[in-house]
Amino acid sequence: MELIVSHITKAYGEKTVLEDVSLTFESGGRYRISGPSGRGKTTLLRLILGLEKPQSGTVTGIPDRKAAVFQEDRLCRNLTVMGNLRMVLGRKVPDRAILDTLAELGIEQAANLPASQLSGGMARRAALARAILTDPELLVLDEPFTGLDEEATDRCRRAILSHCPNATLLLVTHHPEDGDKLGIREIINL
Amino acid sequence: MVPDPTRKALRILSVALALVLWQLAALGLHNRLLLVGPIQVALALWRLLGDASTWQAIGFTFQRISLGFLLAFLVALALAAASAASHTVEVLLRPYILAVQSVPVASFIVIALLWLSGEKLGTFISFLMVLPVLYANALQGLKNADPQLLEMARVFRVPLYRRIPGIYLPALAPSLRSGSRVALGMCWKSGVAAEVIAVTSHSIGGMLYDAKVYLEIGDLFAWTVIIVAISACFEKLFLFLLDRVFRALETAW
Repeated sequence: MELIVSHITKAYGEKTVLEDVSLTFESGGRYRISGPSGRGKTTLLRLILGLEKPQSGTVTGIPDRKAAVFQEDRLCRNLTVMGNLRMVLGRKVPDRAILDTLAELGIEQAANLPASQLSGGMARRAALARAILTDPELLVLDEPFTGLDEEATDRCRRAILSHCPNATLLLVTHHPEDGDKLGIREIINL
Repeated sequence: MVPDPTRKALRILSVALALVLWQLAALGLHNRLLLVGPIQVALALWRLLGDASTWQAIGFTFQRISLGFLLAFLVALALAAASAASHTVEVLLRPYILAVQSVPVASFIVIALLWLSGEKLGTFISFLMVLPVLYANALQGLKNADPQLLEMARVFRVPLYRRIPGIYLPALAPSLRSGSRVALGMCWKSGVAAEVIAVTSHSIGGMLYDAKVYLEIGDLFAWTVIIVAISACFEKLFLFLLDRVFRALETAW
């Protein structure tokens, strides 16, 4: 099912961030949303995730199983990495699968560390693990590789491709090569 | 900043000074019907602690006041959760909470005496007096839940029972803890006041009343020391258990 953004306008007070934007995302398609800062890339993602309501226009075709890596890690600081993942995944994903994914991302040693003790790069990867382990139909990635070195970024890209091969993927990044390496051909300029 | 050992020494000095001034005032006044010194109070306390009826009264009052507090704690949590979930519920509850906060405790005690026996009065009054404090603190805590984490939970469709340990408890714990500390002191003060006014037999309040009627000023002070001590012990025990429960729940996932 296509994800359709139809004639969306979104303003915060006096400032209009998105004006009459219409887009169509094919199911399973991969898209990079680009544009200068302040042009509404994150706002568009938030509208698609149902976290904001537009002043006018509609978003239809949002799948039930959606996942996101936000600009912030948004981990519960009091819980361990495993606790954070279990909070989202429940008991349906076995420990082994979680640990394997953490190993793919190079943070298996952090599984039992509280999120408050993680380095920036570890927290980023834990947030990505949380998203890809939910087997999403829609995966929204807002600057997912911020603070990661080349090796960690490469691990993350491979994990996204292996865990979510059929998901609709929406990526916001300032690094076009991240999109290229994720096989993204469609670029949406805002 | 005053270093810890110095602070401790200053505290001991302050208490010692108060005791000396108290003893001097008692000696100066030389009237046992108006004021007794700390030595007489200590002797009265020693005598009371050796009496089985004292322990019976402590048990009686402790049972009722702690029941009132625990009921208020649970009801406050439930009401705060409902208010946090629905603004309408919060607005509907506001006048009741304000009314309970503003009406003097003595009015409640006298009115409640018309309906309740002295035995139940302590429980009811301590429940009523601490409910608004616990409710306000619990609601504030729930409202402090990290909005970014709540958004994350919305996107991932995390069910409520799994949001509680990671998102709500860390927000709730500090304010519920400080609210409980205030409320624990209040429930003992108001509960014992209710017992005094109702002249509840075999209770701390009843004993306090008897001491006043028979002008046993030493006993009056000794019972006050007992109330303060039990209230402090209950506060420490409750907060210790509360911390343990929060830790256990937070690590449940």
